[in-house]
Amino acid sequence: MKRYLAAFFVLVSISWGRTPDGFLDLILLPNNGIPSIIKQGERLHIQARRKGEVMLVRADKRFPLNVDWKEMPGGLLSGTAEIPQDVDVGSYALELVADHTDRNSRAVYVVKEFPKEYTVVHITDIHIGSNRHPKPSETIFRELATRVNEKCRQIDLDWQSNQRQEGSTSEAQTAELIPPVAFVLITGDLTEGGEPVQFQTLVELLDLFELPTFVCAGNHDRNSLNYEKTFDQLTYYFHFGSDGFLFFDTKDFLIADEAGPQDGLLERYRDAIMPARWSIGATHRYDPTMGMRSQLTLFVDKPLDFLFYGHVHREAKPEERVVPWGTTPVCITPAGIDGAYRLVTVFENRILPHATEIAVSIQ
Amino acid sequence: MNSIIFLTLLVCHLSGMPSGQIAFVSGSEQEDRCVSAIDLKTGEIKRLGRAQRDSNPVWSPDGTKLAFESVQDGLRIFVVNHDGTDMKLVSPAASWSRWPAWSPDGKRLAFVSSDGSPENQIIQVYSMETNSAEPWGKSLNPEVSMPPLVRPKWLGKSLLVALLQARIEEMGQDAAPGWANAEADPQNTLLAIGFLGKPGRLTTGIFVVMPDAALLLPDDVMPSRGNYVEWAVSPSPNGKWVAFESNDGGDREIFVLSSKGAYNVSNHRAADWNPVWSPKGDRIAFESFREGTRGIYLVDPETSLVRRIVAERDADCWAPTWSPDGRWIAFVSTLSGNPELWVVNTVNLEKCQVTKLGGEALSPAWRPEMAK
Repeated sequence: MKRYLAAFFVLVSISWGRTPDGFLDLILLPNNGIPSIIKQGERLHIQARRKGEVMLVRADKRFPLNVDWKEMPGGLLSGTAEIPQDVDVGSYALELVADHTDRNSRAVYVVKEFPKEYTVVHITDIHIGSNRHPKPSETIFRELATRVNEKCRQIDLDWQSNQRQEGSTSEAQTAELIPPVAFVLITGDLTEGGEPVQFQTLVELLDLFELPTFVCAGNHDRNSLNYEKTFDQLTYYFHFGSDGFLFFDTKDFLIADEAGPQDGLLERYRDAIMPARWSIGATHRYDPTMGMRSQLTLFVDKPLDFLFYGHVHREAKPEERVVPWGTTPVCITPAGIDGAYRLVTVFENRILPHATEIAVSIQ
Repeated sequence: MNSIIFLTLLVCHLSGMPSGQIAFVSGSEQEDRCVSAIDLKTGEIKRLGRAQRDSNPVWSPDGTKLAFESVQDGLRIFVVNHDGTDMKLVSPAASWSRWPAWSPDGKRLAFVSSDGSPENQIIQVYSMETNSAEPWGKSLNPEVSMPPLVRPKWLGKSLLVALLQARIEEMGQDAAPGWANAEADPQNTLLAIGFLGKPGRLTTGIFVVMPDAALLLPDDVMPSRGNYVEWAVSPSPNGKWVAFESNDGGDREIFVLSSKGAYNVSNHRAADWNPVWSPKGDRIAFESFREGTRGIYLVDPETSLVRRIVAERDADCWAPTWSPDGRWIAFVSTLSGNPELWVVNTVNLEKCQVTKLGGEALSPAWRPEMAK
């Protein structure tokens, strides 16, 4: 009996991740809204509230990580650990064992190589908790995730089939091929009202995606600190192979929050992705009245090569296809709550938004 | 009063820290941000604002009044006495009003007002005596539309206008149309940033704004010709210089405009921004990323010598504001985790944490000494 009880508690402690209300617990980063895509042998960056044993977990496989911890201002811990060479390619939860166990699902994606050409899925304005359509927002997003997964699998199959038949396919057929999808961007208005239960639902639904999902906050998510409690960072960047991605917060675009820390972070993060082949921004909304300091950094002094955003629930008007400063092309995708998503392919010499796909009925 | 703040400040005072008041904005989230002022001697924090997403507090030159932005049917400008009494709404109804700037005599308040669209931003000047506002920078020619103007600053006793007019006389009036007829009185003149060009080719320039004219500084007085983006124009209190930011040269730098012309004083490949004049007008505090994080530096506009004041490896420091005697700078830093207020001695670089609120303390504005 004792053995069964012990096994039960081990099971509970292993399977439990985040706090009961869905907020981040011991591990802040990476998480399933800000994951890490990393190669074997590279160093994984972790932020945590406490030191502890850290491991990558998938099904019955566990890979312990040797973490070098450093204290950060405010008492948080920053750690780095090398991904062992024997870790298989794929998706992992990140687990930290201290006085209790915490686990962030789909936090780490180990890859063999970063492709030179790849596709991303752009989803925006999913408004979990909204009653605006007859079909519940959760159902729309669940179906959208299913359609996106199917599409990504099909693209992968077509690509692999073409690789096998290389030489026999015509140039026109090759030109129509879409490179495999690397990850999904969800640019804000994740929830309808920023409520804890809406974020909790979102966190669960994100795990339906087979590919990594990167999120940023929208104005609907920011009437409390629940976004930060769920995903930790409003402003962050990451490298994907030779490209750099910068996610930022534009909630207060009319008043333009120039008082807080974001302007400094944007300058630093912009510099960090400066050497990248493509520097790509993702945010919820853009308007020329948003903070001028962030516009100077991102669109004037060191213009991003491309910007994703949403907010407007429609396609871009002609005058919105480039930021007014003149150098950064824009991709606006209609709302996920209306069943829409878009594929955008990153090529060596251009970034190509494909036509919006309305994948889910809202009735 | 927060006992932790008091103890911190007590320790600071024992090591010779400053006294006075600093207005700032605090809150756990933008929604509840409120303007308050902390007494550096006692640690007492007094609420002065409305807790309606308050922002950008600016003291009147004599330190008796505080202007700030706050949400009420749009974003509006409010003025309140230093003790929190007699709060007054001064900007138009249903407008988006920003960037309050007191005239040197404290009798007028300039700000920018719009209907929320960037192309409709105009400068308004509110008289504290007549309690009325009027738009400035109107074009003398009704067929010529004025560009959107933002971030006004009073020219005060600057001799810049006279110097510019003399220069333009040398160049010939064709070089700068409009200037010949302008009768600018420095006490009645603003500098502002104007948006130029069309979407897709947007840029900015520095404008001299008078009640009935807004004139772009001619290319000949700027560091070089071209479509550079200027920002944060700020005349020195002693009237000798005008500081501004520009991306002329490839990255953002602090420039100074004087009777000798305009020149780059910060000159570093990392971004340098937000020039803030010392009370005497002999030094500029600015923010720079030259050591990797956002730090605060000083530059002497005569010599262009730059001195590091505070730059930390794992934290950003920003929003410098000078003490009235010019010996101290208050700033925001994430040194303790959240953004909090700190002060640093500009001579020995000793620093001390002023607030420990646990949320955010932002936008410090050191109160000028009240006139006796």
